Amino acid sequence: MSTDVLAARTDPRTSRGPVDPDAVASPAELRDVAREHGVVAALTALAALHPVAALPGECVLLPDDVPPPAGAARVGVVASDDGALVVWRAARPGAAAADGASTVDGEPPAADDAVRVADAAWRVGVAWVRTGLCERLTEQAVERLRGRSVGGTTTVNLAPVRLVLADAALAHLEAQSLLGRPAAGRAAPVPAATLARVTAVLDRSSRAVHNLFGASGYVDGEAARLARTIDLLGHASGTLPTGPAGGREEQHA
Amino acid sequence: MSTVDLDALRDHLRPVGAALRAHALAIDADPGALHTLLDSGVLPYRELGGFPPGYLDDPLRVRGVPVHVRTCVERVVVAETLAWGDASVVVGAPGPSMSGVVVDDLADDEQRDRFYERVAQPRTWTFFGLTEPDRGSDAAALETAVADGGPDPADGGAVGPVLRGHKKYVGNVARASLGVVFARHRPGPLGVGVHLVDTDRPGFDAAPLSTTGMRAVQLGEVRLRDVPLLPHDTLGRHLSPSRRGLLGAVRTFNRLRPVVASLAVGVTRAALDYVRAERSSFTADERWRLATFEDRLHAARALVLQAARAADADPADGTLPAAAKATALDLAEEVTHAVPPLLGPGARWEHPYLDKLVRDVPGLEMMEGTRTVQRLTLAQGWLQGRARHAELV
Ligand SMILES: Cc1cc2nc3c(=O)[nH]c(=O)nc-3n(C[C@H](O)[C@H](O)[C@H](O)COP(=O)(O)OP(=O)(O)OC[C@H]3O[C@@H](n4cnc5c(N)ncnc54)[C@H](O)[C@@H]3O)c2cc1C
Repeated sequence: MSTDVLAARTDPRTSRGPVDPDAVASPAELRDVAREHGVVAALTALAALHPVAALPGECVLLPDDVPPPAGAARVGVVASDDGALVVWRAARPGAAAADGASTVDGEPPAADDAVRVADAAWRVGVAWVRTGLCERLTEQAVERLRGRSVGGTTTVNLAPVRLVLADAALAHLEAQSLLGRPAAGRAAPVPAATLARVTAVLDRSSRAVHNLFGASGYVDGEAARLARTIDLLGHASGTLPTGPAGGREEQHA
Repeated sequence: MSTVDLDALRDHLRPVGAALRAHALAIDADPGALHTLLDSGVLPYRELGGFPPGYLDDPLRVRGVPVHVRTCVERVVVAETLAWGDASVVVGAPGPSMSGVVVDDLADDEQRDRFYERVAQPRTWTFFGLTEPDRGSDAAALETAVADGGPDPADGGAVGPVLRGHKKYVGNVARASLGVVFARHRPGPLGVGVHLVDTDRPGFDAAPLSTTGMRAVQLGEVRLRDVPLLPHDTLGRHLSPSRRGLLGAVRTFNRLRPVVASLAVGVTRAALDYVRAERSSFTADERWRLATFEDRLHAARALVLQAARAADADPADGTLPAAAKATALDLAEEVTHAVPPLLGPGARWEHPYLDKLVRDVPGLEMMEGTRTVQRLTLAQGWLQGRARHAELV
């Protein structure tokens, strides 16, 4: 039996069908929007689902026309494959706001519970978006490698490439099951450790998939921008701030 | 074998690494700023370029001893020390660079003179034209051809052989004065030759590409539209068929891989030093992680050095160089991503140097073959009994 890839097929048992980015009813659907329509549509849909929120000093990436949290400062722009995203930093209380290091060595600024819950909900939404973007990147990589060959074998059929694809599929499945855990009885939509695990799994897999593009993924183009967007969304929103010491004592290194 | 004290060489070059660091962000933002760095005179790029004795008036001297940076061991020490400041400048500086290594391996005396005399001129870049849009890892299947140029439209005589094809993802090609082009003259693995080509020849049409990192390299592409090829352009005519062309160049790749690995080691060192300079206290977990990274850095550096020694001793064996590249890239990727979160949310924007390090590493991943390809080479070598008894201590 041939193991060659002919064309992508949709499994009717798992596909939810085309998703309308303007009618997203749950965070899980953000994944489909991200995969099919890209990051701008997905973050716009997330902002329609949950208020944009970030704890003091934390960063969020938003499409140009999505308003940032009140008092946030613009700190950068990310050129995604799908348009620009603006990087906003939520206001830090007091004068220490300008000093980046002050929140690093000290305790995170106090935030009320409502902001914490909203911040966590936003991060979980971003994790769903990243899951869909990782799938998008993987599909593009497969598309490219179907058209290339090494030693007469189509690159997508090389065993080490297949292993990367299998690991990517496993990562996407794990992310979904972790993010989809019922939140009953918990203040936050997912525990900090769970979100951190999702982030780590997606980070590792998206880097491996990005490498499948070879040097073409290093030229400033669609794949490079998509990979960078996935990376920076993870950097900004991938982990819940638990306090630098996490209950342990800080010591000089 | 190297007679230079490697620690002394490192110490000697540390200030150069620091100077590269000072220019790194400007060059990342605008690769044209490389000229400002060159104007400043802090980078002795000709002395570090690996010229054979006799082509430069005044070679690098470390504690009075001339160092020609000709061995792989010397090259990895130089590359690591400078990559602490900016890995992309190490690859993007003018000089013999990768072409120099292939010229050393394949050229006859006349070709060596032609190459090094030209490159010894100030600010002369070279290029290494192997990769094609459809052929990267699969270099053996490259399609750029040595073709028959047909009749000369001017006088009806024969044009002679020409280069016809397209090379892509080639460092420095759009500003190079000369370099090497890998091209096929007949089917099969022995049918690929290496040709020394001046870029001012008609039909040589190069342009830069915009990349996400390693910007001083000014990656580019070149269309070869019937570029005239002269008999003395072909390297290795005096060598046996298995020692010239692509097969001969395997020795070159084996010598270059430890250098790419050492760039990754330098980048890793830079990331770890940066976080310690910016932050004075760490949690127990963080200290544990940093200590593990330091251990792995130490191990990777030892492996790279050993791989360089092995490449100097037997350039035909690529097993340890492949191991060194895979190890160093694994570590560089992990560390450059692990460090920014230690400096708080948004560190990738607040500390653009760290963001640059993150963006440079995937470029190192591609240079001289991906980690996957290195692992396959390592496994193959190991199965054949190579690198099993390597001694790192
Ligand atoms: C900063 C930079 C500088 C460079 N400088 C130069 C230069 O000066 N000159 C030059 O000629 N080239 C240069 N290159 C190109 C580089 O050598 C190629 O990118 C590299 O060889 C990979 O080829 P590719 O990009 O075509 O990827 P591909 O070969 O298409 O690889 C795509 C994917 O397939 C995988 N793959 C390929 N073969 C196998 C296999 N046999 N088994 C399993 N998996 C496989 C790879 O790991 C990769 O993930 C440079 C690249 C960069 C990024």
